[in-house]
Amino acid sequence: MENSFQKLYTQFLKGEIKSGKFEELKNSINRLSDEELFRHMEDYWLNHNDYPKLNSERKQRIREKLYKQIIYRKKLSSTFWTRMATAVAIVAFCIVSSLHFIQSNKPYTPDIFQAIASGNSKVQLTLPDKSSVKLNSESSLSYYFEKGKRITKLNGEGYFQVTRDEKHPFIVQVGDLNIEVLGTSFNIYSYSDSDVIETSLIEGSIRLFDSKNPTETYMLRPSQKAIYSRNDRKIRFQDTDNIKETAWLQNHLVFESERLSTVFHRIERWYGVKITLMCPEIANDLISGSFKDEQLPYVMEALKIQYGFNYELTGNNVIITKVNLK
Amino acid sequence: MPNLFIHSDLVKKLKEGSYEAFDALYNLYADSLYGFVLLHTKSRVQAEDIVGETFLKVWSMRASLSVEGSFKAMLFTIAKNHVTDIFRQQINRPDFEEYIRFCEDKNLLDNTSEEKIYYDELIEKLAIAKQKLTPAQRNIFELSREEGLNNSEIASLANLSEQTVKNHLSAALKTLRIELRKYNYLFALFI
Repeated sequence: MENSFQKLYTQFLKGEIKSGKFEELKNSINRLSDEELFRHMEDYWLNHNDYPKLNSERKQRIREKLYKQIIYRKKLSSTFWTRMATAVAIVAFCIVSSLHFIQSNKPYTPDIFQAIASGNSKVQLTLPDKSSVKLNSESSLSYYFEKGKRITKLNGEGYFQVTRDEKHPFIVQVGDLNIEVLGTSFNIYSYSDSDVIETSLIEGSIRLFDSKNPTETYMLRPSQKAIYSRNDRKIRFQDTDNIKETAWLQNHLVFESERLSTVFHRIERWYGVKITLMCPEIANDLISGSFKDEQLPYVMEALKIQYGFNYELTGNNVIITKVNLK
Repeated sequence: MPNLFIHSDLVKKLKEGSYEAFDALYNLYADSLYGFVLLHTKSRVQAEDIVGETFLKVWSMRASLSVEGSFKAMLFTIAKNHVTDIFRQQINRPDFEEYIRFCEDKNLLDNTSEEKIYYDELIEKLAIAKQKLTPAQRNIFELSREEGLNNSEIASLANLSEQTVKNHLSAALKTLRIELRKYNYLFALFI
């Protein structure tokens, strides 16, 4: 009985079983407990090496899928930024996809955690210290632990909810601007195509300083925004509205007295399109507006009606042609 | 056994979270695991999924892996439940018997060929071929070969005479045979 099962099982694996015998094998397998079946399978696994080939293309595909799912961590090294670029190429997420870094046994290790939100997607992350970050589209972030500090580098826009831990300050670095945090929620807007880095505090308290001038620090109050200029390294403050600053988290696209050129930049990122402005005379006009979960044509149409320009939308390109005279 | 030593060294590094060690272990073992799963499930898609998920588990439980013993045996322990589930599921599919018969015919006619046809390939080609059937033929073919119903069950279900069911079925099989020959499959099984 055992021998005949063994024989049929092996024939099945080799694709040589007779159809008349398959029923018998199937019935035997259905009668076997998992434990008994494991024993036969393990026996085969440990004693054979002549398997059908896994072609390299498929092997690479499985590998890539696998890496999208595991934590992307690498040791801190001088080639960090080239590796970051590689990681950026590999890791891409869908809209509102959520990625939770698996909690390691040692939350404070020098390993680097990296994530990016590409195209018009947003990503929700949980860092190893349990802080949570939501990344807006075309933004990237890395996190590591160094000299007792939790260090995060951000490019783009992110909303942070930092886990309180007085012993290990949490520092966000955007270029030379450092934002030091104990435990709080805040939003940072820092796309590299913009001169300014905007930090809005939702609750708690944060301290800002320039790496080039670390003794001069600024404290921010809730509902206040710090606007840092990369060019002249100056920080100015203004009061703001928490709902407006975090509107993007709810898929709200909000402009409040913003220059049309800035608004177009934001629309480009939000919808993953390219906007060409053929009439630069309107670039500095200030506009306000708010859109929730709207498609691009609706937004363009609404702006067109309000500001009287014409536009052409083809694929991922929008061309703003001319202003209608009133 | 120098190999065994190297592997336990890799496992040690993997436990420390080394991505390079994980990659090396994947490169060493993905091929055998894939082949092993493919022999059981006869499905490339399933084999691909299981390999991915098994290595995902290896990564997430790396801290609890043992440095002693062989990684190959550990890999089996991690994969076995999943492989067994899919293996049992596959062999109990009504159309799996057709697949076995197909392999048998192929072996008889062309024993020299090393190239094996897998279950999911056959189903894929069949899905394309089925588009040539009339809706009634297709419906009856699926009830018969995929759901495993017999002719009288189909007759009462479709409110047709048993002879009509037989006629539809044989017309369907004839069309499928012709269609599948286009893929160079010696499709003698549906007789």
